[in-house]
Amino acid sequence: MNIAVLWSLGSLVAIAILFKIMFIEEDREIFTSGEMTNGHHQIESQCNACHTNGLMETKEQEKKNMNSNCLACHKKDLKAGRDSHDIKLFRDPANADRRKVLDALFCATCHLEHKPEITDDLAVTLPMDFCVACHQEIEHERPTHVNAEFMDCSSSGCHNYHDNTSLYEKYLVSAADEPNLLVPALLMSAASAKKSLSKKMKISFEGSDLVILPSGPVIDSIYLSYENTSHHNSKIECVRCHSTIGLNDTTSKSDWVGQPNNDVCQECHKKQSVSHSMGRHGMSSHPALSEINRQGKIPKIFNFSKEDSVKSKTEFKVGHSRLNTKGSASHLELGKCSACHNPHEDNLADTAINVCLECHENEHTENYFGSEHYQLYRSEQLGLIEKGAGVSCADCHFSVAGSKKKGKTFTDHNQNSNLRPREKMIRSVCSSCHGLQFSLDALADDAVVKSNFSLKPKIHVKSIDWATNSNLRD
Amino acid sequence: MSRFFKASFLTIPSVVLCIVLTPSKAIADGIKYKDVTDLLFMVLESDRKAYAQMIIDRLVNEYEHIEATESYEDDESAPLPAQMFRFGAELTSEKTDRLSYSLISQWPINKQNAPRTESEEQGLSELQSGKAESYYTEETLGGNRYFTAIYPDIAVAESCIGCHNDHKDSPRSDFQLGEMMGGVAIRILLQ
Repeated sequence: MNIAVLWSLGSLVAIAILFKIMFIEEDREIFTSGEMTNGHHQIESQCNACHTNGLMETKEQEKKNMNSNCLACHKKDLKAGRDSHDIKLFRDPANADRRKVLDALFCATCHLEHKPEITDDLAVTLPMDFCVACHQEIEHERPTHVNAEFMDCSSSGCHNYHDNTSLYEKYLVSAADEPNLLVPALLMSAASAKKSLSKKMKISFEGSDLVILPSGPVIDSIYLSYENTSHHNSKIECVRCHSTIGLNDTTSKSDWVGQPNNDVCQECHKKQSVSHSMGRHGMSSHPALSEINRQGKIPKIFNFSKEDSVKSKTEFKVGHSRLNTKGSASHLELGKCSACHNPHEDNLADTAINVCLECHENEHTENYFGSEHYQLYRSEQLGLIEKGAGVSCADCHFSVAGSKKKGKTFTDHNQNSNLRPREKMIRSVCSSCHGLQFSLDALADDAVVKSNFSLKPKIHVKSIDWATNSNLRD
Repeated sequence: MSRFFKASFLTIPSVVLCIVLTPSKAIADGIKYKDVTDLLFMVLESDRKAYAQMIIDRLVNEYEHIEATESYEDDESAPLPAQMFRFGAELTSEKTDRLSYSLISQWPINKQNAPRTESEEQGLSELQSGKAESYYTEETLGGNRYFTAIYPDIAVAESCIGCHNDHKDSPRSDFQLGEMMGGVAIRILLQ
């Protein structure tokens, strides 16, 4: 057997192995040209979610395809943030010179994937002074911006490229005189809450004694029995969830389903479920991704994946996370509602903190128990202060969405809605209790964020000062 | 053979006539770009005037039922006429790149709306000087050739001059009713 034959056989084996990985096993990470961003690594092996180009498509069409795929997931978020640099603004042919410098029509101009070496915390792959491409005249237009550095536009708490709902000029001016704490009458002072809580709990609130056990006596006392759960009160009997029939079907016979999937929950909690599948916890289980893998751009003759195999490959477990997480939770599948919720207990108060702590392990999380937010939360649970005055993990990271006016609110399970940039959290969370200046300063100070807002901000964001001054007409 | 010639005699002119008289062909060849932009401007100007007078002047200024503000989302108010105009332009841009239109001004509140191309500057300058009632040219932008028309944007309602004279970012505070405040640029992509 000569070398040519051996070479050919070797090549065939290699192709067969790659073929198997690509279309059958779906462990496609080996094909990626570089590590993906933290926001997308959950779907790293699902290439078809983003790469949908045909073989003969032009570069221009490829860019358009990629935009469509980006917006399929991010359009709603951009709309909610009233995107300051919406693609629509750049279609005017008069902006051709600007687009030549920075083509803002395409997401990938600023957000390249698989480029970890040039990717910043906000998944931007351009140098930080990219604003100069269009706003080089700003110091002539606004005297407050003379000598301002373009490197600081988005890092100083003043501007975001997309979401400026809490940073635009009129809003800044309207909130210029807000005190640090907006609702002192509603909130018991932290010191008072601490005192009352210490007395009731008979524990010290100094140092490490603050760590609370998930099933401590006080938390246990607020647990309700299943008979009093909202599920039971809504006449959701066992079979409604633990069967293969729908909630509205009371006549069909069905096998018992020990662990119902999200579809069952979604029948009543659709908005929560949909937002969950758009967030970091649930994105790998997004129904559309499974569908893409099964039926999408993979030629059907090569698509040997069965539903179950796709599902098993795409389940995102805590152990897959890039964040610091506890080893004991590494097996938990985050795509399932039941990973955090126990439908047999009305345990939302517990879920709002302790479920998070089962997985997350970092400075910010650990410092929560030393924060005034936590003291207020415990006080609220004990009935010492008004309902809603406490601040749990979920209060900040799973904001309330929907129409408050119409009374149709729900918990947004997509934590991206107010996670980054941090200023996105101001209006949906911080402004419920804190003045704008305090919120801006606190969120701009990394040390304050790490301390879980136990420290006082040492940074002063100047945007309100500047907006107030420039609001005076010459 | 004679039948072939007879058939050709009837068929060929018929085909030629069909091609010439096909409606889309006739329209494409029959109307000048200038006339197209003139007609488009009439529609845009009328819609703009209708919104300013029927919504802003009537519901905002006269009856005071609603407010019209720049931050209309937070204020739960009506968008300003210039914003409405832009929304229409943006929706059009989502549908086609063959036609675009925008508001530009030598005295823009938002500096991003200042003239950006030579033709825009020249057009606004000529309209402002009163040399012409409209300005037409061809220009190349981003490698594409465009027919560009620029028309004056006139203050048609009290609300126009009220906002532009009072806004802190406006370079002027002495606009009068009926005065040119800027221009409308309409572009058609030339194939």
